[in-house]
Amino acid sequence: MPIPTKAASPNQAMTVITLMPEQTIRDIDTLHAELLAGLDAKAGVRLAAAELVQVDTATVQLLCAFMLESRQREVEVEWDTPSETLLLTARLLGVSEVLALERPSSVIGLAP
Amino acid sequence: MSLDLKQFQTTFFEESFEALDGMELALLELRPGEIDAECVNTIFRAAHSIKGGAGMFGFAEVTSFTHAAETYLDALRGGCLPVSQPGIDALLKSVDLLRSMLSSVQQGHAIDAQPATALQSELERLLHASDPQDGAGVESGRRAPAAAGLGCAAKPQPCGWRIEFKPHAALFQQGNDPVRLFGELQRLGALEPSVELGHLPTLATMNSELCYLAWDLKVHGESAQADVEEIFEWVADDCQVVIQALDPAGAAQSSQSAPLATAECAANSIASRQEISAPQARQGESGSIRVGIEKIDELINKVSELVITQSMLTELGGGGGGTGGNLLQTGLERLERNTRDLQESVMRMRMLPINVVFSRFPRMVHDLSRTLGKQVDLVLRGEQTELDKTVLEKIGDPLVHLLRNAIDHGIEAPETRRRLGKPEAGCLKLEAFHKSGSITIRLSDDGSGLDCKKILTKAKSAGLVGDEELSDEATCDLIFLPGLSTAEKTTDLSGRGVGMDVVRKNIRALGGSIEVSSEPGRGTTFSISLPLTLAIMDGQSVALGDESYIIPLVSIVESLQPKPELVETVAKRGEVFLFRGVYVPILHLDEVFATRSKARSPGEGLIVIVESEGRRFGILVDELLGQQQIVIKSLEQNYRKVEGISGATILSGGSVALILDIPELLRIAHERGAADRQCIG
Repeated sequence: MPIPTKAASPNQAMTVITLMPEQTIRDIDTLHAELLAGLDAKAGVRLAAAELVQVDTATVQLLCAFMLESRQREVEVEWDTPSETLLLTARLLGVSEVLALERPSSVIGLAP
Repeated sequence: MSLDLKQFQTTFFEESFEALDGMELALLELRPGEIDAECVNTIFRAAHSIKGGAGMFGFAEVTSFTHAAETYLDALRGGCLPVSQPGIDALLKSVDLLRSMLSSVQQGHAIDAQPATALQSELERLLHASDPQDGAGVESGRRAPAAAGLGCAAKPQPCGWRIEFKPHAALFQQGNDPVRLFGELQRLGALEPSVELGHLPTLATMNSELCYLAWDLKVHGESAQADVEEIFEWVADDCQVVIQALDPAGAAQSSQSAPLATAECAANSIASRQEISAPQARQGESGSIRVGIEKIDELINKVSELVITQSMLTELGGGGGGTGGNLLQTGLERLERNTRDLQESVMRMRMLPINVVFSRFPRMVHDLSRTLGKQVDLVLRGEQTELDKTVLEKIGDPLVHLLRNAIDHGIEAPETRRRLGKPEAGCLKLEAFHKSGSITIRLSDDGSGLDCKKILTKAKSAGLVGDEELSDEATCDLIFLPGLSTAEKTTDLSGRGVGMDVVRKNIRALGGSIEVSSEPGRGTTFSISLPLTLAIMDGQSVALGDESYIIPLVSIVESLQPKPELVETVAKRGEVFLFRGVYVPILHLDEVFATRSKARSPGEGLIVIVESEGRRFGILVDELLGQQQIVIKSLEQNYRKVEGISGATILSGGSVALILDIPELLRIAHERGAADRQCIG
């Protein structure tokens, strides 16, 4: 289910950036270039992350930079079915709110 | 640019295997009932380091098993458990298992969980078995409760930890990932992460391989500080970490709220910084770096080219006279000296201490002596003696064979030794030292010695020698002939009649030699002589027609001009030459290499008598040109394999000379029917 940051324009197609199942520093240059181009997308960007099963901090950091800058430039960004892995990783790194993936959750994990 | 994490994994595997070697050696030092804190700490640190790295790379099975071993070691370290033989054995098995697990991971194979589960249970059973109270409270996932369950004095734990984690920019490039660290933290208790985004640049200006984030983390729950520290230990070189205890309200204890605790917290923080920084200091002090062997070989090649160029310049500049000529001569001499020094320094980069090989033997001797019910003390000497990496890699197997033979057949059972008035424990001494520009490795035992009578009988019945009388020295040397074994029964270890010939063959392939001496009832000594390196060698250059060839100096017995009356022609077997009372075959190189030589018969040229695998033959050449140290170049890598040639070198004049492969030429001579064994000494 998409988690919108802002309603996408109904008239123009959003630029879709699909995250690979294993999205790590190994292929970060490609994603970096795609996200940079995405900042110029007039109709906004849809981040497709349904298939994502492995993601590292470098990638999450890149996504954070993208999200912060897209807000400054008022580029619409929405998530298309972010995978459980992405949600958990964002929570673990404390960036769920920055990535607009869910409400901030101050404490994760169960008390022993 | 994309980052290849494999390089970091390679380092992790290298360091882990080294850590396991160290762990094994330290375990073999442990004695049941004795407390050797330094030894236990060494073992613990090795396990701890492997666990940290495995956790970082997500090798969960390795992390989990190492954690179990570490729990046991922690109890030993804390004095809660006595050092016991079953414990040492279980930890040695753990070393083997970890080696196997790491090898599997390294090769991308799945890990068989069953052995790890079984050994983990054994370690836990040993841990509980020693618990004087009730054995309860040992939780494989935690170290602190284990110690508590064993009656160790446990410090009161704070209700959580605050961690200021500021990674260095290159954290990701070092193969580290905070996600994994935080995942580990989460296992200690509820995690409250707060990210610091202030240094994050714009998307256009950021380098996506650098880390710009920092975190303020809180871990709630009664975890030990050591557990928190250990999670960050692996990244200690790549970040700044401050750990502080949390008070019950969830705040880091501060001077305002708890002055008394502040000192303790401050001390804790300092201790954390110090402990986490320790590996960095150790690394800095070690004075060594890891460099790929291919880089060193490339450097050696370049320096070799420089040496050749320098030789050419020396030849060209040698004839000049006058002031300018003298200055040029002085400069060339200095260049030669500097180039030689540079070459020696570069060659030393390929040298490694022989301990790389020796270090595996204490465990092997330990296991073998237990299997055979013998007591053996292994004494190692000269472990820091350096040898070329390639020689080191190839000398291991021959040494294993000799050690196994010594334990299996040389050293007697304890009751026999007692009866003979010897100490129950046999002594095996393995030493390495420099001798005459080579390295000597000597293995001696104080066992029963070789039975010369039995060796001679066996050799005669196998048709390996005739009825002639042989000295004890020559008789002992027969053990290196193929198919000779005097062992009365074959075991899994030795005595199958194969091996000693292969040992000699392998050592000779390295340009070395092996000798044996023995005294009945007193023991046997094997002396192996090896060249320092395989990259350079001393050679005799010889002329054959318009070509130059190099004969390895180590193979040459003598060079001479034969008297025609000492040369005989054997029907269909070519020529033989009477050398010191024994006929040796003569090999015509021009026939082997299809070239032209000036000398058509032995009387017209010179014969170089060479020896390989105990056999001698003569090589007919036109003339001897001179002896020199040469840099060996691979012919296979640069051209293709040529029968009878082991490599090539560039002479000072810039021409290429081929290096003769003496063992191969012996085989060729043999095939051509020139090497009639009856004629060979």
